[in-house]
Amino acid sequence: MAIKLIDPRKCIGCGTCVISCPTDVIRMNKETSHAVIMYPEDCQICNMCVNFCPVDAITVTADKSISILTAWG
Amino acid sequence: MQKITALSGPKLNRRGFLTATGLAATAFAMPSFLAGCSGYAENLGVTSVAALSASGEETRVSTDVLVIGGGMAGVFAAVRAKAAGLDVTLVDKGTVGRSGATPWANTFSVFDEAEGDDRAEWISGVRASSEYVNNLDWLDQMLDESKARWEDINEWGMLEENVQHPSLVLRDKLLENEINLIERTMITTLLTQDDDGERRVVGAMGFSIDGEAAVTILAKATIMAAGAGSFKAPGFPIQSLTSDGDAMAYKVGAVISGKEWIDFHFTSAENPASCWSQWSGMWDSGVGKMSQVFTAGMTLDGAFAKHTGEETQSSSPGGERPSGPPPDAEGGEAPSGPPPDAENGEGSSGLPAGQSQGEQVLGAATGLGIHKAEGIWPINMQGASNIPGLYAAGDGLASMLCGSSYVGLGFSLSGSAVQGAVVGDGAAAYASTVLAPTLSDDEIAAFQEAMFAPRQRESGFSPAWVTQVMQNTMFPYYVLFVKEQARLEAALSTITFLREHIVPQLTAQDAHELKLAHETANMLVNAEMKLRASLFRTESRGTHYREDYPARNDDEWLAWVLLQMDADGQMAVTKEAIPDAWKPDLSIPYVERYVNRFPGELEYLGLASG
Repeated sequence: MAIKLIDPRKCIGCGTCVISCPTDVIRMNKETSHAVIMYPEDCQICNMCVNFCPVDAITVTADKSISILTAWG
Repeated sequence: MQKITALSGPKLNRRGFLTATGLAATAFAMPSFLAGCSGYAENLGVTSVAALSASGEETRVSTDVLVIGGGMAGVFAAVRAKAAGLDVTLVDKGTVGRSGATPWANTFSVFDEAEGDDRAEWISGVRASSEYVNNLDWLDQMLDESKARWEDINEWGMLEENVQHPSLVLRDKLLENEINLIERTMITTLLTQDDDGERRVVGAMGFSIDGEAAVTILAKATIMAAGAGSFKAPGFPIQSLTSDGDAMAYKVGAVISGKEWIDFHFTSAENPASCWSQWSGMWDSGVGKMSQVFTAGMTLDGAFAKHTGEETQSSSPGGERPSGPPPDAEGGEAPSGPPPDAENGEGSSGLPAGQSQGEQVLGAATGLGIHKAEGIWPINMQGASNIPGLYAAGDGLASMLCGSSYVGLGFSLSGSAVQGAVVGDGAAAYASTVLAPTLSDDEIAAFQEAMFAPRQRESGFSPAWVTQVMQNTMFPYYVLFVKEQARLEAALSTITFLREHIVPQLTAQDAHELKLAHETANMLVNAEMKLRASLFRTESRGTHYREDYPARNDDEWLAWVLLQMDADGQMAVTKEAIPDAWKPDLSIPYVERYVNRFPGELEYLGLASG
């Protein structure tokens, strides 16, 4: 759903996707120097990360589901 | 004790600036959990202001002019204030050129008499499309200056085919002009101080979403250019825009207007959350010049048809459809946003290249109003608010360049450029006349304490859960698209409950969630504004349809609705009449004066035939 994969075999750790995400979904993992999907529930499927990624490492799909709503959960 | 650092001077690029402020040295700490829609729960990331202060270096900046938001309006404002010889700082929630609505803009309206554009025709079209609640002074300004701003962005290189993306040029322009740039920083609070009994805005406070350090910017003048916002509705790529500017300004006493007008963007019924399915054509087409105005406002026929069970009411025979956005696949409604390509006229299929051709559903930007017709209410033609020191430009300024409906493709981007420039000049002139802020460390500490409150609560409600409850309250068509008193009051009851009882219990496990917490609170302010303004305007006009008052009422409502916090902290609603000279010719029969029809309108007026 939504942002699905940042392929660690392709990611060069440039951080472009991190600064390109308007909703702060992606962060850098300092230890691996790879970008990681941190907050996928906030992905708006705008594909800016895909469009700016220089090595085509990111997969975003068109579908998205949201959490079930209960009384206080 | 933190040192106030004046960051100005030549050759200060982003790296230098970040090094100077210590932000670059703040390593990102990977949280061990994912924030989710957890509802009421223990705050697994609970911390204290003291711990946050210890973990990252706080940034304090003193500047002449602070610009909040780096879209088209904010960048023009910053460049012009800098050209006046002042120190200018621009802060953006994301990265300039990659945040907000600007990356998706692709038409820029240019009025050019040398190209045959007729001023009277444009004014007439804007008035009719706005249904006469627009501001002709701001329209004059746009007609006078849009061509010069178009030439500016051309000179900046925004229109060149070899740029990676047009909006990225804006960031280059800021750096080239040596404007201090602070990015990935969520501004939450306008700072105020009282001078001889007069409250003035003296900058703003926020936090870095990376290091979570507090960012305090003291400024002689502050320009709000943070755009408008939706309720994080699906299918329109502005979920980073949450009416932050309106909410912050409202809290310091600014007057807000235009909240009863509603946006009418569509998304696809299949995969409605996918912005890319809807907007890829906009992304690919670059920025193009547009020179046309509508002759009538947008209609909400699609929603009306769902409500009444009858096919489209449509315009009266004499009325033309808006010239840009074509009907959707069902033939009932005109998706307003994605226009045909400006330069080569593509989009003859009815939708821009790349946009989904399937069934469309309304509400992709619920919470948004009309471009250039909602936000902070100006008291002069340079975007000053009623609070000294606070200015606004662009989609967060209720200039009423447009009125109850959008008026022409490209008016939004062009209007932002024109307004940004004049507001930059105005704020710079003001900043040159006032003394620097004298806010004390204790006062700054108190603002910080409030900003970080969700991080300090040991348990409470997650922002995602509160946002979802708000969306369930506000999204259905029968709240904001087909309005009626009892339904508006029911929604208002829920929204005010959330504001009063749930917002004080919002929690945040990390910086990302702290951003969401403030966004959620801001969206609730916007929701309350939309509901109260919609209840107050007891007529229908443009994009505001009241089922219980289904016709325009020119005797009472050739007026703007103003919202302002009263002395008791409640939202007060008043109206201000438009100047008599701007009213329509009331001798023209009603059905000719207004060509778009609302359900039940003619029956209500006793004008139904047969």
